[in-house]
Amino acid sequence: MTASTQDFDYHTPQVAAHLKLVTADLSDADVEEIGRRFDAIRESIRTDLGEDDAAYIHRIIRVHRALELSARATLMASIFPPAWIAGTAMLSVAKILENMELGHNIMHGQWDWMRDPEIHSTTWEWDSAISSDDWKKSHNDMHHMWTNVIGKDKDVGYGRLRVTTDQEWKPEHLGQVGLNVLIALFFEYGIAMYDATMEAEKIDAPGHPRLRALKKVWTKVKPQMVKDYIAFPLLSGISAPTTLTANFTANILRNVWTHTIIFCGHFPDNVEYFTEEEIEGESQGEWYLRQLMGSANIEGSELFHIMSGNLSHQIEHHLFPDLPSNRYAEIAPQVLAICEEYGLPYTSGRLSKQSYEVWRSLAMLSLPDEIRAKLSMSA
Amino acid sequence: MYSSRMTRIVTLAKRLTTPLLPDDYLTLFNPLLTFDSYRARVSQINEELPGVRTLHLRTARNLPAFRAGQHVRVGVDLKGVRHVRSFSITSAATGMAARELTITVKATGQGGVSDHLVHRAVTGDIVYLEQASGDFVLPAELPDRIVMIAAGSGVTPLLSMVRTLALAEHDTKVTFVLGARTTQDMIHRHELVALSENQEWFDLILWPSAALGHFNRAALLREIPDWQSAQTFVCGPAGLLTHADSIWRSQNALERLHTEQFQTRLAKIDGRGGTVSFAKSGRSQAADANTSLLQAGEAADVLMPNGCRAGICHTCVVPLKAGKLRDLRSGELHGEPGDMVQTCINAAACDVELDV
Repeated sequence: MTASTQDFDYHTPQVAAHLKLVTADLSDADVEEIGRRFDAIRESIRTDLGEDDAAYIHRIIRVHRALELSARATLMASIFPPAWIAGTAMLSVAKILENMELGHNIMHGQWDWMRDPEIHSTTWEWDSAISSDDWKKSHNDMHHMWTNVIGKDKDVGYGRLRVTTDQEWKPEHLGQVGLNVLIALFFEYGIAMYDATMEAEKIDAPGHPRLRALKKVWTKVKPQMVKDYIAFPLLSGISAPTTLTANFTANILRNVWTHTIIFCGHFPDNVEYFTEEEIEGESQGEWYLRQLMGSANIEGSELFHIMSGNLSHQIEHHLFPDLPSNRYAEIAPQVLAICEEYGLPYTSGRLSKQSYEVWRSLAMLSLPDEIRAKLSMSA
Repeated sequence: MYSSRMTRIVTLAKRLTTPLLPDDYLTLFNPLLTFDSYRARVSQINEELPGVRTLHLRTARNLPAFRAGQHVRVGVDLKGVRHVRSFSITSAATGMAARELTITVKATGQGGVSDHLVHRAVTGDIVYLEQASGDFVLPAELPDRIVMIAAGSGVTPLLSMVRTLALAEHDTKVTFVLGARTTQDMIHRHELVALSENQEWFDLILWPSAALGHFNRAALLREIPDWQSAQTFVCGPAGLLTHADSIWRSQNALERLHTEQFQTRLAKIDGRGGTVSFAKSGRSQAADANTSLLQAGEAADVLMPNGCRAGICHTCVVPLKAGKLRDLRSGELHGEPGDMVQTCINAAACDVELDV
């Protein structure tokens, strides 16, 4: 047990110091060279984009739409359990593809180079509780620009969870494992409300910020609720109640899946956090290093990568957020080679391992530091 | 357009497909089944001359009526990238919605949309269409006398006008000057010759410039003595248009001259920057090669959308209307009208217009 406690950390300040050790080994020229290497990777992919990439995204789009149509049709007979199971499975997969490999990546501008007005970051809308415009602001700008900078990147614990000892312990953290279960189940609504409330608080307007946020989220959510919980059940006739439960299940499954992938991308052990002072005057090379140390990959099959929206290549995604996701797999070995050459960390593991670390950290960090220290000591 | 009943059905269907559109699912079955945009299938291809083709573009639903002389933007995907170019519609304008139109395309040798349509497009290909537009049109109220002067591929919008006139009863007398280097190079010559032989109202003058020189003031006075009483439509390269402009201007008759230029003069692109104009706000700002469009806009107090200011978040993209840009990261020159461009990492490479 002692050995294993030494194996993992809770994102302690000691580890932040470790980060500085890592970067301390590098001269300014090294950092600059690393930046140049990453720029070169980016450039080689960007100039190589073409027909095959376009065919890839068109194929995913067709698969998503065909799956969704099949699911909706199958669920017309959802009163029969096999139809319920098949329909729910297809709908869940369709919804996951739509949010992850399509929505998230298209809104990053990964496919803007095709200049197709129908597959463009400025026109794409997705089946999620947060509108594409708000998402692009909070995710593309705040999270990607300020990755893992405490106080800047609101995705660090979403204002509720304590994911690093750099965050001060508060009694409310005691229940954070239970809270995280709830967050997982209702992820899209949680982040939409969290984001909208923060935006509402910035504006001095009549009405409680949370109420105004609720109104805003509701305008986005309403047509999707009508679709999933009124229109399609009604169309299912005798299968109405079972279609409703199927649609609800698919939405919940997608929430749990996206939550899992996203948490495994930033909260496993060995992922670093930063303070605003640390990143003052950050160069392009240092920005790359922060993206590298602030993200973690998940290993798996090709299908797994697609189902995770290629966020399983979280490191590559954070280095090159607007390169098409289908290219991350070929970039990964090049990134790893640079990391090995300069002795940089490259955090990667299977879904089970990364998930376990995420939940273990959440459990440990729910305790005050003194108690946690005693526990580790006695363990 | 489609009927109001169809509109209601589409509106209802949108409730089921939100946030996507019914189009997104319909196109799984037939790529032409779209209600929110126009797509066409190349239904027939006619070889006109070496390097010149007429393409028949057929849609699944009616296109809005166009006017003779208008052009339509046609989009194709080349190496995965959408390229859009304007082409004059060559088919007759019936004044009614129709499902087919034709364009006549001449290869340019520059590897763009025209070359693709001439050398590689085959029947069955899908192209993207936009609604027809343009002010170079046959007047709704026909004048008694019309002169048309075409050089090279400039014949295309005029052909639509002539075909439209051929379908209608009218008292308009038309003289058509068809110019090209040699008679063999004249696009649609056979059709126009046949028309002139069969129709009282239509006179054709073939003008092979290699033999006769450019169609100039002297030629105009000699060939069409009553030109001053006519409404004249000229379409061709810039030289022809400048020349026509000076002739009609000298007679104070510019209101009777209608021109359409086919080859736009290219701005001098030296990557040294230029004036950035902001179409919607009506402002402009000089910007050097290292000033991002975003900075230029902000200096002119234009409400520029912006986010990370580092090329990551794509919050700042706006449509480019004209000009070329230089990518501040790679130094690459790029940009075509209609592109959505990131203003935070692009600088003006010449005079640039943004739609913001």
